[in-house]
Amino acid sequence: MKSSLWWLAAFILMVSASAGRATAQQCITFSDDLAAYTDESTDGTYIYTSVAIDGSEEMIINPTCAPYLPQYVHTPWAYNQLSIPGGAIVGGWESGTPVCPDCYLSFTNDQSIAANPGVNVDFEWQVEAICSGGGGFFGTDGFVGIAIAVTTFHIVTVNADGTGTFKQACPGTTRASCGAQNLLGRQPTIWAEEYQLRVTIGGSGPICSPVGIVQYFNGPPAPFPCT
Amino acid sequence: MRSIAMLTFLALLSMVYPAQAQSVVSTSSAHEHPQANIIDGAAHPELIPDLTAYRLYLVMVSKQSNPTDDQKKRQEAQLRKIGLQEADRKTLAVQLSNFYSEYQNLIQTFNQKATVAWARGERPDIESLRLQRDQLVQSTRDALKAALTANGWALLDAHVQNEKKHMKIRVKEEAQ
Repeated sequence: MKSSLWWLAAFILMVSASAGRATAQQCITFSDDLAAYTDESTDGTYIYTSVAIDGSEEMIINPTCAPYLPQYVHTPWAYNQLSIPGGAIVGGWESGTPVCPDCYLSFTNDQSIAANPGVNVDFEWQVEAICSGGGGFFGTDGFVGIAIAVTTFHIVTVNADGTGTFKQACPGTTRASCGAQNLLGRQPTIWAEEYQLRVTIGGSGPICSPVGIVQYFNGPPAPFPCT
Repeated sequence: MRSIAMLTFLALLSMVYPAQAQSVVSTSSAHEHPQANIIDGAAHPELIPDLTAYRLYLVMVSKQSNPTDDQKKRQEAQLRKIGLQEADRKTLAVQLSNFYSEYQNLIQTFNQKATVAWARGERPDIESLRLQRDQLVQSTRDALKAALTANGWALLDAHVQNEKKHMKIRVKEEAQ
């Protein structure tokens, strides 16, 4: 009889403890509109990348749990690493100022690397929003391939309005990965080099963005190979 | 018999209490799913709202009124991608500087209030902040549309639309 009572007591304790655990699992509820954004750009010599995390957040605590909760803080983290295969590596993790759990998060990690035209630069990035009490509650990552693309043009026509029509003229066996077949440029010059930023995200085709055009007469090391 | 029952009881007790203590530490399942409900703009740019895209773009390229040399070079490279004429680029840089100071001020003021509220066990008005933030982005967008040439605005808008491929956003949904 006594044994049965012990078993009954144990059963009741288990049930009540399970109920307590269910309550504790709902101690914290998150709501946020956090976002990640990456940017790549170049001035023709350096490649610049930025990784940003930005957004609002709310940490709602069940009042019955409050006695258990320490003073939590939330910290935005951004990983921005640039690497040239077999060459230089720059960047890594950086974090913003830890703030209160209901505070707004906004942080950017900027990096840059010197890269010659045509050299592929690997851009690896990641963002995390981390609660000191429980770990990450927002996170995402990605990989971007970057290169400075150059297209060489040679003048074919001097136009009446003083402009010049240039035609793509890649030296030797080099090929342009971004440039158009023709370019409308200024006069008087013979050669034109169009610099662009070539970006590849995931499996999609490259996106080319304008950087600048350099026009000149003959002279070494011109004309540059296309990349 | 009694001792067996006692041992069983103690064993159950030792199983139950650590489980309860642990559940307080790992309080939210949201911690275990940080990548849940995220829209990838590379796959679905149409699902990134314009206002969110403008906000992220403006946050990324705006700099303080007295930027360092490195910040200047970076911003020049970022703005060059749009393909704007020189005059439009200068106009954009001025608007970006204004946006930067207003955005930073908005966040700092809110975070100060939120920190005080949190310490008191009170809630800050986050919906009001989101509204003010979105209004600031919208007004900056309107100001840019008015200040840039028609071609400059078309180039900027097309650029921001393209930039959605570089954005990942959380669908604002309460997660437990």
